[in-house]
Amino acid sequence: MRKIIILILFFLPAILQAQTERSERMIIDMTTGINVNLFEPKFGNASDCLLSTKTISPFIKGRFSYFFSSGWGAFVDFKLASATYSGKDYSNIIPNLYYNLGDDFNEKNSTILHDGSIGGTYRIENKNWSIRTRLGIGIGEMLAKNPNFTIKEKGNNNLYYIIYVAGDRYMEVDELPFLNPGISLSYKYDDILFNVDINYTQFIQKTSYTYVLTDAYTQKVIEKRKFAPKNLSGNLEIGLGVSFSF
Amino acid sequence: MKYLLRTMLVLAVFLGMGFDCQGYWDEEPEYKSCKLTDFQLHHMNNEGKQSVEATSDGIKKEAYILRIDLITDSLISNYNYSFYKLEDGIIKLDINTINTFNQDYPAGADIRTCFTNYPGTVEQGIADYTQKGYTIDIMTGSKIYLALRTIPQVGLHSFKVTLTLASGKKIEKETTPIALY
Repeated sequence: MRKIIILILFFLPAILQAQTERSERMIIDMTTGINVNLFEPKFGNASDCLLSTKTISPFIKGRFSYFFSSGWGAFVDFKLASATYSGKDYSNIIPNLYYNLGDDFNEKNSTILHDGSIGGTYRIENKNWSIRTRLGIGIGEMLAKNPNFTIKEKGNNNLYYIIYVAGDRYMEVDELPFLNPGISLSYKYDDILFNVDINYTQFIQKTSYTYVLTDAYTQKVIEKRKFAPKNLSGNLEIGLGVSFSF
Repeated sequence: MKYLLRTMLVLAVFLGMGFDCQGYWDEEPEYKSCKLTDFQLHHMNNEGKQSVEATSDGIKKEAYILRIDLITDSLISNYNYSFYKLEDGIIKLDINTINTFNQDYPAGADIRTCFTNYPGTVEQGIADYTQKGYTIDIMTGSKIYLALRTIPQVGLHSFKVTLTLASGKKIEKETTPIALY
């Protein structure tokens, strides 16, 4: 499904075969819309519970594009997306031999995620209409969760702390590289373009987690291991915006 | 007008990014003075999720907790302990076994090291800092939960608890016998 979206976004202008009349060299886009986190957790691995699940949140984006010719250009963009930590039942992480005495997911209600990318863009114009496709590479932030639990063994005084740490140390967001194909459909009125903007962000690296089991009395680490989720994360952005061309 | 609109839009977007105003107000609380008048000892059964008062059936020896309730001359409500401070703080907490505890600890032995502050969240809990050389004075709670971490022999047990105050005054109490199995 994702591959199909990427292919459609990138080759649509070539399919349309539109004619180019007059071109501006620089375009500044301001877009706002919804960001859909497409990460589908696979259960059976504790890390699946720690990452963001499917969420929809608003975003704003600024993009500067410079065209070397009427068709080809380069762009740089910067996005801010609001992200909300999804409430989730983490009790399946705790074995049946133990009670969950308390947990803390270190979660704020929401946070702002940033990402930026650079890449190439191709433009086709036909009178007041234009289509711009893009393929970029960038660095984006992903929510990381660092939940900790206090667990008690049934039938005795043994007490342990379980801590999941994103990466090697505590972090609320992880910065990961991504590829982002995208397309903008624009209508030009005077010097202002009105756009429908669709982007897909495919992260190409996973957030790894460190699991630490500690004796609550002695603070001695009993077990420490690293793991990573099975699949990569991705976001689909759909937005409306205006652009100024120079 | 067009340029002004553009500039305002660009500024609105980029100035709106990443404002994070943080401020906090931290003020030293004003402590009210109180005196330790007495304490009570309770046998707690910690087999379940939360510890409960022991019944006459006794307690599994791996799940024993000794609870020490500090009693002061002030009526302290559940949520304002930290604003009370003992005039005469507790500098030492000793526990001696009345009966033979196990092979290593005969009757009368000091078994304080067999107990550890229970690290679980408990209502009105206060840790015994005296082993680290600190004084228990700020009443962040009124109940000291000490989990038994050295396994005793099966049988009836009772313990003598002695609180030594900064003034040198000592208060002693003995628990009722409890069967540990």
